[in-house]
Amino acid sequence: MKSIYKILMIIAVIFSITACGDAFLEQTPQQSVDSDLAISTLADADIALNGCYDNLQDVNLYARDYFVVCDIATDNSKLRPENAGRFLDIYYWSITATDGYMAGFWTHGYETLNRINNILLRIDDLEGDDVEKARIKGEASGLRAVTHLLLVNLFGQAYNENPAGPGIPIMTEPAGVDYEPARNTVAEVYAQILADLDVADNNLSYNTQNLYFTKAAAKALKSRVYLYMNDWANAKAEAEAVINSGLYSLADYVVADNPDGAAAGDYIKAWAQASNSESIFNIGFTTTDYHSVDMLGYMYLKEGYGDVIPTTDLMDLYSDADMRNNWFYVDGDYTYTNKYPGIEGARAGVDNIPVTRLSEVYLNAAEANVELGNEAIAITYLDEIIHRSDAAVGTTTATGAALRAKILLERRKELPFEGHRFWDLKRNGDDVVRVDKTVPDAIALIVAGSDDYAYPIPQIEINVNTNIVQNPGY
Amino acid sequence: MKKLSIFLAFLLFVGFQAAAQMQISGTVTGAEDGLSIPGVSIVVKGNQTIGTTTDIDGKYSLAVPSDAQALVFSFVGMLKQEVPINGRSIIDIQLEEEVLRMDEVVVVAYGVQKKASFTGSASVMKAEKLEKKPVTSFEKALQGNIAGVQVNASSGQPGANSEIRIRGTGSINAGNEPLYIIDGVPIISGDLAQRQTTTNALSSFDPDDFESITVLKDAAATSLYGSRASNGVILITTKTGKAGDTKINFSYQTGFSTRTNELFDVMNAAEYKEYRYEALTNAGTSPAEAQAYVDALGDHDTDWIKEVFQNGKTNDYQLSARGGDEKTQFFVSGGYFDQEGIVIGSSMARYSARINLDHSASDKLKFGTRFTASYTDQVNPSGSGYYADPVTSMYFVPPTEPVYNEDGSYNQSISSNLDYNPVAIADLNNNSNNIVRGLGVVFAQYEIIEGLTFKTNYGIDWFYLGEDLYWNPNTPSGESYTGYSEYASTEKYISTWTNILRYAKTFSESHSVNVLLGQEAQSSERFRTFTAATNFPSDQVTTLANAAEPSTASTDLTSNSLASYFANMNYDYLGKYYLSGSFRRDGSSRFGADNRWANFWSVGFAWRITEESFMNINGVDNLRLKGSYGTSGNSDIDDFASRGLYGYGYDYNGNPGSAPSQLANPDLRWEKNENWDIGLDIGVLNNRVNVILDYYSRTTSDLLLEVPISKTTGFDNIMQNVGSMKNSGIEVELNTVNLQGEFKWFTDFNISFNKNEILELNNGEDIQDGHYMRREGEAFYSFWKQEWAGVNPADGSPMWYDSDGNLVDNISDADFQILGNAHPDFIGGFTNTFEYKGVELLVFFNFSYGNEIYNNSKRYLLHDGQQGSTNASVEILDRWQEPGDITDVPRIIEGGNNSSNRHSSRWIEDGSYLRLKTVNLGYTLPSKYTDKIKLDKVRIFAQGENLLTWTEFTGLDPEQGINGQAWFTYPTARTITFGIDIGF
Repeated sequence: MKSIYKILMIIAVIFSITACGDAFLEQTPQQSVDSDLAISTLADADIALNGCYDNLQDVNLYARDYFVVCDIATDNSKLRPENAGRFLDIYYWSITATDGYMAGFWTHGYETLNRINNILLRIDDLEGDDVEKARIKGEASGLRAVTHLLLVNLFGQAYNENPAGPGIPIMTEPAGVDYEPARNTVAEVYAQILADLDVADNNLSYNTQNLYFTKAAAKALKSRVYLYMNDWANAKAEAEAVINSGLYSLADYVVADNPDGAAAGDYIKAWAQASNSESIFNIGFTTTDYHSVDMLGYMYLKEGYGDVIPTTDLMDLYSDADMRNNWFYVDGDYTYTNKYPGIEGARAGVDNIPVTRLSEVYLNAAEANVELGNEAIAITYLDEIIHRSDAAVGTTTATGAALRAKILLERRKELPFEGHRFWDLKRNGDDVVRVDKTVPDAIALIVAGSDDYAYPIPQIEINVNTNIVQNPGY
Repeated sequence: MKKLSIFLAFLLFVGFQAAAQMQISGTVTGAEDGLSIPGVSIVVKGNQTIGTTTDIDGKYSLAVPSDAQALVFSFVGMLKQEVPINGRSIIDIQLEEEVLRMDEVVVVAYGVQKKASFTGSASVMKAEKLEKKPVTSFEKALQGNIAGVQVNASSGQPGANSEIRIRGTGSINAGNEPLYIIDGVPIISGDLAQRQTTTNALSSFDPDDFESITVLKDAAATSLYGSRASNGVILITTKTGKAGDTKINFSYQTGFSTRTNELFDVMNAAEYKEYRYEALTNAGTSPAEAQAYVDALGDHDTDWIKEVFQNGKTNDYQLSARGGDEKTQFFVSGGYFDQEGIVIGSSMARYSARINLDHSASDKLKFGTRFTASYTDQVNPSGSGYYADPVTSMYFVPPTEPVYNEDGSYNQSISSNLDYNPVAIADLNNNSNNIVRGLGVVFAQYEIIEGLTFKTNYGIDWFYLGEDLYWNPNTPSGESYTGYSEYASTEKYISTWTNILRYAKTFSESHSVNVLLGQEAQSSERFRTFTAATNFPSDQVTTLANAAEPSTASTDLTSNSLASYFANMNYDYLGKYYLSGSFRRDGSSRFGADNRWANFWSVGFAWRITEESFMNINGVDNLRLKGSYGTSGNSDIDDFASRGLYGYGYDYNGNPGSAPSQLANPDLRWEKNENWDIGLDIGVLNNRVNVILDYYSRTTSDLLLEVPISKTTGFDNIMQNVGSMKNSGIEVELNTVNLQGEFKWFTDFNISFNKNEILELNNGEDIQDGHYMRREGEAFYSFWKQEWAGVNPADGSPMWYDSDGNLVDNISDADFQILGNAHPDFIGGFTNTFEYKGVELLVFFNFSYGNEIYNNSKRYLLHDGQQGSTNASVEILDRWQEPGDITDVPRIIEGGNNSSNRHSSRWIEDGSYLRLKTVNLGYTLPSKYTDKIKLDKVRIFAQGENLLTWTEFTGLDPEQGINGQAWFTYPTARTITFGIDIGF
C-alpha cells in the first residue's frame, strides 16, 4: 500500500510540473510588436512618426490621386481622349458613393490619422530629451492637421459656404472596433486643424528640413487655412512671419535643356531638383521608395501615361514671355505638362511633391493684405511672383476689386497641379466653368455650393457606420 | 461352460469399460490451407472439465465418457465447431476462419477500445489495404475507402498535396483539414511551401510502416481532442514487433505511368492555320493578308503535349524486420520510393527509416519508442500553374513553332503572346525542393495497482523544407533579371507531452467502468527564410553567392502553444448498455485574452440489442444501436490573430517606419462544432453481412468572418466569430462475405451523402467571394455566374439569359445567379476481392456524383479567337460558320467574339464520375514451394491505378480541388506496377 501512495505522489508531481498555467500560453510575436509595447521610447515614437509620413506617400494621397483630383475636377486639366480610364467619374462629374477614389481618400486618410493618434496618445508619457519630444509631438500634430484638411476639403462644403455644415469625423485618439463617429461640422474641423497647427508651431523650430513638418510649414498652412476662412488678419500675420523668417527665397525659374532621362521638352530646372530655395514642406520620394508608374509625374508626362493634360483655359492665361510656359510642351497631337519632370538623375515619376512652398505663402499674403486694404503691401508680394516668371512686366497698378482679381489669377497661374484649384473655387464661391473639354458634351458648368461641391462619403463607411449621414444628392 | 462365462464376463468387463470411457482421437487442420493447427481446445459438450488440446502436429487424443454426445472444438480466430460423436473413435475435423469484423479492437482517442463498446463513429483502414498502393503519400489511399471522407488530389504531381474533408466543409476562413495523430502525437500536415509549388508534409512518411489508419468522425470519437477536432481526426498507429521468430519482409514494386486520357487536345499545325485564317478574316483582315500571315508561319508541326508528357516510372522498395521475445519487441524498416512523373522535369524520391521498440522491464513497467526519419527530394515543373509552367503552356504554344532552332538550340522566340518553350523551361530552369523529417515518440507505462495505469507519452515532429528556384538567363522569365535564383526554407516543429491515468474495473461482474484522466502540453514554432538574387555572370553557376545583386533577404518566426486537461469515462452494464462521456479544457495562445480557455464535451451511448434475451431472431448476429452528441472546436487561425500589432517596413526618406498593422481583438475565439450522430451496426448471416449506418448532423458556429468596421478606426475590417454552417448526411458501410469456401469473394461498399448549408452570415449579408456566392441557405461552394444560353444559329454570336429567362446578346445584361455548386450529392467506393488457391484479385471503384466543376482551364483553351495567336482546343473546330449552323462554339473572331469566353455558366460542367481506381492481381506461392527455399511467404502481384474513368466532364480529370475549380494542373496518372513481397 505504501508504495502505491509513493507512486501516486510521483505522478502528482509529474502532473504539477507539466501542468500549464497562463505563462505557458504567453507567446510573443516576432515579426510584429504588441501595439501596447510598440511605442515605449522616443526612438520608437520617431519610427512610428516615419510610418505616418509613409502613409501620406500613398498613391491615393500625395503620390498622385489627391493632386490630380484638385485640378481635373475643374478647368485646369482634362483627360486625354485616349486615356486608360482613370479619373473618369471625377472629370465627368458622375461620382457615386461607390467610387474607388472616394474610398481610397477616406480609408488612407483615416489610416494616417490612426498612426498619428497612436503617437500623440503616448508621447507625453515617454521619457527623454524634451526638445526631441516636442519635435515629435509637433510634427505629428502638423501631419494630423494636413490630413484633416485634406479630408474636409473633399467631403465637406467650403467653410465660407456654411461653417455649420457637415464636415468629417475628427479623430484625436485611436479608436476601438465598435467606434462609429458622427460627422463634426466644418467649423469644428477647422478649429481642430488650427489647434493642431498651433501645437506644431509652438513645438517646432524653423529649419530647412523640407521633407518633414517644421515651424514654417505650420505657419504656411495656417495662412492657407485662415485664407479659406476669410480670416485676413491671421492669414497675413502667419504668411508674413514665414516670409520674414529669411529662411526661404523664391526659386529662380531657369530653363534646363533636356538631358537624357528627364522629361521631354525643356523644363524649369527648379522643378527637377530634390528641393529648391522655396521648398517648405514636401513629401519625399526616391527611386527605391516610390510607386513606379503610379506617380503624379508619370500621370502627366507623355513618356508616362500622359492621361491628364492641361486645358487651353489654363495655358492661354500665360503671356508669351512667361517662363511658366516651360511647364507645358507639345508632343504629337497634344500638349502635356512637365511641371513634374522627375528629379534629375532619377526617373520619371520620382518627384518630391510640394505640400506648401514659399510662392503660395506670398500669394496668401498678397490676398490677405488686399482684403485688409493694404494694397501696396499686396502689390509687393504679387509683383515678386510675377517678375520671377516674367521680368519684363511692369509694376502692378490695379486696385480694389481688379487687384484682388489679379492676385487670384496669379494664384491660378502659379499653383496649377499643386492641389489648390478646386479649393480656391470652393472658398470663393466660384463655379467651375470649362471651355476646353475632352469631349464636346462633357459638363461645362458646376455651380458653386451645389451638392456636387462636396464629394460623397464612401459607401463602405455608410454601410457600417450608423451615425454618419451622407451628403445630399448621393 | 466355464469358457462362455469367462467370455461373457470379459465382454461385460469390456462393455463396462466402453460404457464408462471412449477414446477419441484425430487431427485438426485448417480448412483453407490444410495445415495442422496446434493448441486447439477440445472439450466434451456439456462437460467442460473433460478436454484436451491438439499437439504440435494438430493431433489429439481424448478419453470421453461413453454418454458424451459431441465434442466442441475452438481456437482463437476460428469458428467454433460442435461435432457429434456418433460412435466414432477417429474424428478429424477442419476448422474455418472466423469472419471477424475487420476491427475487434479499435484505435480511439488516447488509446484502444473494443469495437462493441465504442459509442462513437469511426472507420478503419488496415495495413494490407495500405501497403498495396504505390502512392506518394498515405492519405491518398483513403480515397473512396472510408464513408464520410472526401479526398481530392488537386494535382497529380509526385509529392502533391491533397485536400481532405470529413463530413463536409465546416469553416469559411479557418482551416478545414482534419487533425493527424501518429502514435499519439499530433503531426505537421499540409503544404508549407512558400513558393507556389505543391508539397505535402504527409508525403515524408512511408505508408508501409503503418499498422492502421482510423478516421474519427463524430463527437463521441473526436471531442477528446477538443479545440483542434472540429474537422475530424485521423489516427495512425505504426507497426510494432511481436514475440516469436524474427520475420523479415522485403517488398519491391516497379511500374510505369501514362496519361489517363487524351482530353484537352489542341490543334495541329494544319488545323491551327485554318483557325488563324478564319479568325483573322472574320475580324476584317483581308484574305490576302491573312493568307500571307498563315504562310509565314512555316512548316513545322509540333505536338507540344507529346513533348511535355513522358512515361512515368515508379520504384518502391521496403525492407522490414519484426520480432522479439516476451520482454522486448521491435519493428525496424527502411524504404526507398522513387517516382518520375508523367510530365518532363518532375519527380519525387524518398528515403525513410524507422525503428519501433517496446520493452517490458517488469510486468508493471513498459516503455518504448517510435522513431522515423526521412529525406524527400522533389523536382517540380517550373512555373507552378502560370504560363511559364510546362503543364500549362504546352496547350498554348502554337504547333507551328518548333522545339529547337535549326542550330539545335532551343526555340525561345515564340511568336505568340506567350513566349515560353515548355521543353526549354523544363530543361533550363529549376524548381525543386527537399524535405527532411524526423518524428520521435517515447513513452512509458506503469501499472500502479491492478486496473490503474499511468502512461506518459512525449513526441517531437520536426520538419524542414528547402525550396530552390532558378530562372536561367537564357529563358524569357530569367532574361529580364539576367538570371534569377531564389532559396526559401521553412523549419517547423511540434512538441507534445501527454500524461494519462487510466482506471478500469468491473464491479459485481456486471458493471464495468473505464476512466481516463489526462493532461497535455503542446508547443510549436515555425521559422522561415527567404532569399533571392539576380544578375548572374552566366548559367553555369546558380547559387546566390554568384549573383551580383541580392534582391531579397528576410526571415520570420512565429509560434503557438496549447495546454489541456481532459477526462473520459466509459461505463457498461452487462455488456449490453454502454454510456460514455468526455470533457476537455483547452487553453491556446492564439485566442484573445478574454477567451483563452475553452471547454468541450460529449456524451454517447450504445445498446447491443442482440445481447437482450428478447432478441433471438435467427440469423441476426449483431444489432447495435448507438448515438452521440458533443462539441469540439477549430483553432486553425493565425498565431497572433487576436493581438493589436505594430509592423515595420513603413519607411520614409530611407529611415525605418512602423505602423499599426492589426487591430486588437480580445474577443477572438475558436470556431465551435456541434455534432450529433445516431447509428446502427447490423451483422447477419453469421456476420457474413455487416452494415454500419450513420445519420449525422454537424453544425459549425462562431465562424470567423471578416466584418467591416468604420474606416475611422484606421482599419477596414476585423475577423469576428459570427457565421454558422451545417453539414448533415448519411453514411453507409457494407461489408459482405459472399463466398467462403475454397473460392472466396468479399465485397466492401461505402457511400456517403452530405448536404452543406450556410446558416448564418454577418447581418444576413451575402458575401461574394470570387467565383462563389456565400449566402444564407445555400451551399458554401455555390457558383455565382451569368447564365450562358448558347450560340445564335443565325449569326454565330454568343447569347446569355437574364434572371427572367430572356435571351440577351450582351453579357452585361445577363444577371448573376447561383448556378450549381461544387458539393457532390454522394461519394463512395466499392471493392470486390476474390481469392482462390493463393490467387487474389482486388477490384476497386470509386465514384462521386452531383458535383459541378467550373472548368476555368477550358475557358482559356476554347477562347473563340479572343487570345489571338495562342493555340486552342480542338473543339474550336466545331465553330459556327454559316447561318443555320447549330453548335455550341461561337463564330471565331480574332480578339474575341463579344466576350463569348468571359466567365459564365458556359464553363460549369457536371463533375460526376465513376473510376476503376485499382485492380490488384496477386499470387501467393503455396507453402510447400516456399518451405523448400526456406522462405515464409512469396507473393507476386500486378497492380493498376486509375485505369478507367467514366465521366461527362471534358476537362483533364474529374477529380479536382474540393472547391470545384479546374485549372491546368498536373493531371493524375494511370499507373501499372508489378511487385513482389518476400517474407523470410
